[in-house]
Amino acid sequence: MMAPSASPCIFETAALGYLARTEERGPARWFRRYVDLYPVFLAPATVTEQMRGYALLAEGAVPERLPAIEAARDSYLERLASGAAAVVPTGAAEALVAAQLAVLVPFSPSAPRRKGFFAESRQDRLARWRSQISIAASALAAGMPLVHDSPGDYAPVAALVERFPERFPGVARPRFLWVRKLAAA
Amino acid sequence: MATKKTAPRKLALSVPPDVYGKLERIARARRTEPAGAATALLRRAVGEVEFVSGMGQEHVEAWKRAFAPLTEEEMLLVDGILMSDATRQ
Repeated sequence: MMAPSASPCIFETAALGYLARTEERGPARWFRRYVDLYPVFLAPATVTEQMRGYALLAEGAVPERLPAIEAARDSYLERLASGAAAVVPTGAAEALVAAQLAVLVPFSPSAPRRKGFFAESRQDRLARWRSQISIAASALAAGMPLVHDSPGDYAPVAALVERFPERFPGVARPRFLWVRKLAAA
Repeated sequence: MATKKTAPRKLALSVPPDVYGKLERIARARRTEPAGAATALLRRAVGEVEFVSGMGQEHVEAWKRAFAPLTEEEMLLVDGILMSDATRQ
C-alpha cells in the first residue's frame, strides 16, 4: 500500500468523485493526508468528462435543481483555478503510450454499466474506454501513480505494460492504485 | 567536523514508562542507547510529516462541495458514464 506522502498521483474520473464523497475510513483518511501534501493531478480527459457531466446536468435540470448543480460546478472550477487541482500537460509521450494501449486493448475489458432500466450503450462505453486509455497514458508517461476506481479495466493495462516493455520505451513500472483499497498508516 | 548548523542539538524528553520500555527494547536490539534509538525513530517520523500543511480537512471539504451535493444518478454523469433507457437501445 502506498503512503499518501509517497508521491503525487493522477486521479481517474470516478476515483476523485469517490474520494470526495466516501465515508470509508481508510480511503477518506488517505485522501485527507494526500491533499494536505500535494495537488490533485488530473488528466485532461478527466476534466473533459467531469465538465461535460456538469454541463449535461445543467442542461437537463429542472429550475429548482439548477442552483445546486451550478454551485457544485463552480466549486469544481474553483479547485482548478486555485491550483488545488492541476491538469498534467500532455504531449507526444502520452500520445505514443495511448496509441500502444489502443492497439493492445482496443475494447474495454469491463462491460457497459447497467443500473435498473438504464444502461450505457456500447458506443458510449467505447468512448469512455478511450478516455480511460488516455488517463492511463497520462499517468504512465508522467511516471506517476494512477488512483482509479476500475480494477477490472486498469489491472489488464498494467499487466500488458509489464509484459511488453519494448512497446513502452522509457515508461516505468505502472503504479495503479484501486481507490477503495487506499489506507493511511 | 560538525559545523554550528549540522551539530546535533540536545532535546530533553519526558516519555511515558511504556514508551520508554519499548525504546529500551529497540535500543538493545540495535545495540545502542535509548537516546540513539529515539533519534533514529524521530528522524523517520519527522520525515513523514515535514511537509504537512494542516490544510487537509479544508481541501477535503472544498472537494465535497464539488461532488457531495449530487445524487448517485447525477454522479454517474460527472464520472463520465452516460446512461440511457435500456429498453430503447
